[in-house]
Amino acid sequence: MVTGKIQGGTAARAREFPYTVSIRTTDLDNLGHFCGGAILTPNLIITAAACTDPISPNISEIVAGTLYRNEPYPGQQSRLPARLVPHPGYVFPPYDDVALIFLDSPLEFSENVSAIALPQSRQETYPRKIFENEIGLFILGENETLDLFHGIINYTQFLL
Amino acid sequence: MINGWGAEQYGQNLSDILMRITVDTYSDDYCQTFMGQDVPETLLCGGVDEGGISACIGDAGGPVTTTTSEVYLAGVMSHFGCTEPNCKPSTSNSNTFSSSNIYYRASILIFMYYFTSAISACVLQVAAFLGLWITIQKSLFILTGSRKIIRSMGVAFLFVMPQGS
Repeated sequence: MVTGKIQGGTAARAREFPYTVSIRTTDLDNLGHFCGGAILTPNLIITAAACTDPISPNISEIVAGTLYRNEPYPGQQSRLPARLVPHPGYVFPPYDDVALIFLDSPLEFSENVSAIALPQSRQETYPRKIFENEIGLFILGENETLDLFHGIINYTQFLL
Repeated sequence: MINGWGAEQYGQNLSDILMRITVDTYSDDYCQTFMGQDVPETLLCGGVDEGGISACIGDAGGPVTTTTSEVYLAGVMSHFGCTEPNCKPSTSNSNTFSSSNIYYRASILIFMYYFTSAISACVLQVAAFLGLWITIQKSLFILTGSRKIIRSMGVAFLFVMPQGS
């Protein structure tokens, strides 16, 4: 018998996942939350590419620092997407279904809002050797790339 | 470890509060048995062999983190089959990994959520998806005329069909 939400899950505690964001839309009768995401830097979110592609609802709000899907949470922060960057290898799941979202203004980090670390360069990852398959490599423009696993902070500063 | 506001069960409302689950990661060979195609290099499957624990609609894009002492982002949720009590990965003898990496699910199922009400059987989920797939296929054709996208949606469909986490 399935009793929890997220299917068999346990409720998260306050500040347990300060890097998780709720991606929401006003499309489809003001649907609200339709995808999750994670904070990489104050102005950079990582999510699934399918959440950003044209057949998905338009993103109207990205909310950080909340445990709730509908109700306001004390100290929550809301931002707009400034730029969507799907992975260059993405066509449709399951291929490279990852995207970056640059926010219109940086989040203010607090005990409820902070970034999740990425694996460090040369760190052993198992069972996937993620540094060899270019999942972290995004194309921002002509001759302009961003590699999540190498120097991400410098790039986000530049892009703001 | 995965967290999100996704639905408790396919066709039901999303969760009002953030939830978390911990899953095992699967070998490519095992993943292939219920994915029905080769596992891409950048994809890793995960789940719980006993069933009943899974990501579901609304969890796409959310973070997947390691459960080791060194916590980092291991991936983002992509596609999935919401688990049902009687829908488990089709193979019972699996090799599971102790560290989690990337667990993907199909965001296409987000759309199914809009168009269907409570559905309790896995086979109905597949049927509902078929109807929706045709709907989206038509809209896509109008919007973009891209046969390439439509073909690739067939791939996602293949993945979604087998249920279980």
